[in-house]
Amino acid sequence: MGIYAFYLNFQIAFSGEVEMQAKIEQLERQLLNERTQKELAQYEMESFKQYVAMNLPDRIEGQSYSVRNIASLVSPSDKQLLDKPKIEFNKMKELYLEKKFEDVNAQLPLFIDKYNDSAYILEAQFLLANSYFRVQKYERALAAIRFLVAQYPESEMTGLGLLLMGEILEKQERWDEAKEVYQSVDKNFKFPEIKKKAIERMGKLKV
Amino acid sequence: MLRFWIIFLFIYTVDIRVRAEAESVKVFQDPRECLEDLNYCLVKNYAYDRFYFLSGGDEVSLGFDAHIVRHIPGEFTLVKGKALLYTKTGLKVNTPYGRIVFEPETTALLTRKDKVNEITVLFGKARVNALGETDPIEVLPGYSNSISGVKNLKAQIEIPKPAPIELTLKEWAMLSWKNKSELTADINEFKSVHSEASQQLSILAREIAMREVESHQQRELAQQKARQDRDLHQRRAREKTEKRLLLLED
Repeated sequence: MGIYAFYLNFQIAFSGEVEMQAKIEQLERQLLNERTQKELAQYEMESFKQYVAMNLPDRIEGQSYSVRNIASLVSPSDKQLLDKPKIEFNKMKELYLEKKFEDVNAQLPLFIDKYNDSAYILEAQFLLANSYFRVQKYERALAAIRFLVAQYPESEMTGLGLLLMGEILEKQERWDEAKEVYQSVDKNFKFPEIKKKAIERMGKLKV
Repeated sequence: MLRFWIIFLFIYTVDIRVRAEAESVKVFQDPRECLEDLNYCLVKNYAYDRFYFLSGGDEVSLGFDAHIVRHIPGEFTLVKGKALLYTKTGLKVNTPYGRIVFEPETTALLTRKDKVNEITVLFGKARVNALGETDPIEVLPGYSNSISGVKNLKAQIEIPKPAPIELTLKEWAMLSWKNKSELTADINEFKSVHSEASQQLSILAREIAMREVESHQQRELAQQKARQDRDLHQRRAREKTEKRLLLLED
């Protein structure tokens, strides 16, 4: 019996059962912990809902909940943020008017990247195309104009951009392509001044 | 000697082993074994039986799947399930919709299910401080009440009504930690309390009905008086007109 007892102890000690048992217990406890924490989180969520319901702004006269909701998102500091693109874009314009084209070419792409959902993007791209044109970076200017065509196909600035594109193509002696661009402007844009300019340019083309 | 070797060989071949079952967790406590002291303790009963514990002057019995948190001695939050509570010195139970305060020497059944907290007072008294309400609502022995989510800036709370007797006794018997004779004595006491509550309710209902009848009668009388006044007014007006006509004829 002594040998048998020894055998049993020997087998239990080296079979890994004890470790496995401890591991199972640990995992079981971990699982139960997660379950209870989930229940607690649901309870806290319910409590939080009651807190929100108690603080609904029904009693605030002249203010609907949606208005308050938006108001809570837009803090006074955010209002300054809303004006910031305008301020920065005006600086770019000043630089352009001062003929500091290299500065504009360096800073305007950053502005476009930073405020890519602002209302000044159309104007910024047009200004960038012109600025590149002034320093004879034609390919970059063309890329900016292509952006205008893709994103704002019916805008007046896109029409002006296409006239600029025609001018670049003329400078590159790509007469046929320039003619196509002017024809396209004449055909697709409703702005009389732009149409007139396109027809004039077509007349002067060396075909 | 030969017998020993036969037995040894037999056992060796059959390979009988004593397997220690991994002791499964029936009641989860976080922190581990936290019920042994009186600090913060989360208790979840996974056992298919009630789980009873003592916490200072309070006794708590949790039903299957019930989940309670003790913040400090005498202050609990019932997260889920059913619980039978007895407090010697008074107890507070938090719910998302308000707080239930139990007076000393109170025994009560608490349930939290489907975003509704129900309370049935077996002995003693409790007050429900619902969110948005300035005055607490008392729950007397034999009565039950429920509290649920906030609507129009107030937690919804019902008028206390006599506890549903069968369901209450069933749940009480399931959760009670007392022996059979003690429980039977308690139930008999509760039955008399409950019948009193039901009678009070029927008196209250009768009073409400009487008031309703009275107000109906008063309305009838008022309408009758209004009709009489109108008729009188019209008759006087007619008489006046007739007199004027007579004067004209003269």
